[in-house]
Amino acid sequence: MIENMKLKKYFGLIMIACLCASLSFANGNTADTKTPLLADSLKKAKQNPLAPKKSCCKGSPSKAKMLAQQKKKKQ
Amino acid sequence: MKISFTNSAIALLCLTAWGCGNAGKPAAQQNADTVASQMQPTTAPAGMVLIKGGTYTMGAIDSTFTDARPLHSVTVGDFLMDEHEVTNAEFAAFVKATNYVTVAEQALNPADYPTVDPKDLVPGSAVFTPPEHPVNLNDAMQWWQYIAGASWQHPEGKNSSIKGRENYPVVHVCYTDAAAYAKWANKRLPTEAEWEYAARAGGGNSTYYWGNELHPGGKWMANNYQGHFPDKDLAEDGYKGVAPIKKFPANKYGLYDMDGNVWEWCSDFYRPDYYQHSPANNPLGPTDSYDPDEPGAVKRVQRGGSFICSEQYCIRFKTGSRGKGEVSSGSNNLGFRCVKDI
Repeated sequence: MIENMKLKKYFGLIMIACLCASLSFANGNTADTKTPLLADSLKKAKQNPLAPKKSCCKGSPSKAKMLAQQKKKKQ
Repeated sequence: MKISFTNSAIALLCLTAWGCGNAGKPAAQQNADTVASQMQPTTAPAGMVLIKGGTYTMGAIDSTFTDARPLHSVTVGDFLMDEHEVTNAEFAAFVKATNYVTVAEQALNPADYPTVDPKDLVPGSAVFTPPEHPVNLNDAMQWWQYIAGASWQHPEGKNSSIKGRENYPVVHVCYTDAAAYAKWANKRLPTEAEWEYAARAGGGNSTYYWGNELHPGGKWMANNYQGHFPDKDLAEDGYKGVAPIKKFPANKYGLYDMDGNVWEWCSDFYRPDYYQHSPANNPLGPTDSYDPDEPGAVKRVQRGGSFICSEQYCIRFKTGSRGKGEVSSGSNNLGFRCVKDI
């Protein structure tokens, strides 16, 4: 009977240890869910040798710029 | 006692195994699962798509787009989004109901353009006018012309019309016009974060919103420019200039033309440095605008690129990249779509 109680006690302790370990592992991982994604992206960005060297538009032209340019063209 | 003890042990082991199994998944896979579980659609009003909110990595993977860096984690809430760009027919209904006059149709105030000859201050807008020969790509004025009389009703100038183009996206609408329409429709313009989240449709950091190939299997996925820019448009995608709505495949959320066709206004002010300190939850944009290319001009963000975007020029149709425009200026490659809060 006493041996059985001891066994239960040890087994209980092992279970608590297992539970703590699993919770801390899962917690650490979920907390970092976003980070590896970001890290992956950054890594990929660094590896990207295809950064375009070509012209990159500056957005649609503003009316003021266009009108000013027309004046220049006339001159 | 023994039975309950054994049961507890089994339950604990199961719990541990589940925890480890989930935690062991790559983060990207977990993220994809989350997005998949949030896939649309459930219910939305006709013409709109329910976008379930979530968290994603915002910004451009391509470091060329310095204003779309750094990549950063952003969370947006649920919202409804127009499934296509606002059409001429829809905008006409707004004008009919309100007698609204777009900025491109209004007289210009000489005080706003002190350096311009008052004789040149006629209502009009910017029209893509391709030259007949190759030109220096550093000078956009080689292919843009201010055309007197150009407006949403006359996209190429006073002798053109939108008759037969009712299902084309409305163009020559500046930010003020787009915001006025949105208010009338009881909607609003999307934030830049909402727009990008919707355009990505749960996808990762691929080159284009639909994947890494420009035209996978020979299929054109958006209305962009093919050929030698700006003088030789081969129109391999079937369209020279703007296309009617919904002629290219929808993205995974059921949204059409998020990439290409016409640029789309977002509600955020434009600043190239915004991503360096933007909030992680529902960012609304900075409180003012600044564009070092045109200091003093008030600019808002535009997204998605247009029919003049290509690998050769205007590469800002790629995933995460940003555009910008002065708030009172329109052009024939610029439109918008609306969103609505739930």
